[in-house]
Amino acid sequence: MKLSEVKANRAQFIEKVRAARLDANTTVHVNCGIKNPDDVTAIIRNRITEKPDWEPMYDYAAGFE
Amino acid sequence: MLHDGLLPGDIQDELADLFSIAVGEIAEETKISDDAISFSEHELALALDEARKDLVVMTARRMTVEQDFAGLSIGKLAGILVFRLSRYRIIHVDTTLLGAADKRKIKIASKLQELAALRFASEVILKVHPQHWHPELLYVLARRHINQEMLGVAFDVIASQSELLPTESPLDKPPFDQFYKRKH
Repeated sequence: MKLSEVKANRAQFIEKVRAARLDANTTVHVNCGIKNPDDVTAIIRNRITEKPDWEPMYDYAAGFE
Repeated sequence: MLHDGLLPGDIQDELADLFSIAVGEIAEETKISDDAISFSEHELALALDEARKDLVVMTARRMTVEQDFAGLSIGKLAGILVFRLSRYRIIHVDTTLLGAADKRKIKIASKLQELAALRFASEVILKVHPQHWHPELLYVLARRHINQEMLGVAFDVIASQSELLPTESPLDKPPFDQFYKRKH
């Protein structure tokens, strides 16, 4: 709406803002899944059964100040 | 309780324990004496509570007006925890107990907290081996800067593209298949 229209009809302006808010959608669908604390608990209690080799990371860490 | 979000106190307790285990495993593998390492329980509690707040805010940003919520990714969860666990002054190493001549041990000890944060996230949350990108992440965490969201994106890429570690319950079956989505 043009400013002149807003000044002339503020109720209509607010109505349009309200409609835009109801239409808003900020959901990120690409990376999702964890919805509640039970999901977090399931993830952290599902232990790995093979220990990775971190030695290369220790070598790297020892390589810079 | 709304403000507990995804990390109520009992889960923060579990995370604190798992983080301490990561520190202990690194200490053992690098032969840094347990006596040389101390934890600030206060800083650890603050870091985890700040992670809780980060998750509340990130969750709010991803809700629609109607409150539909598709959830956060494991990368975002890992990103927030690694950021907070690497920023607070949680781990202190008394280098006088390491031996002045052992430069390797001293250099590793100087990044012990960041190493532990990465190891904790990789094993407890992402279930991945350390990747080619991990050294760069260690450098950025220890010496440069990055925020929770960008760490989250990096971890999402790592989790979706890397070979996953075997786990007690398979990650390609419910409920875990909704968190560990493969992008091959």
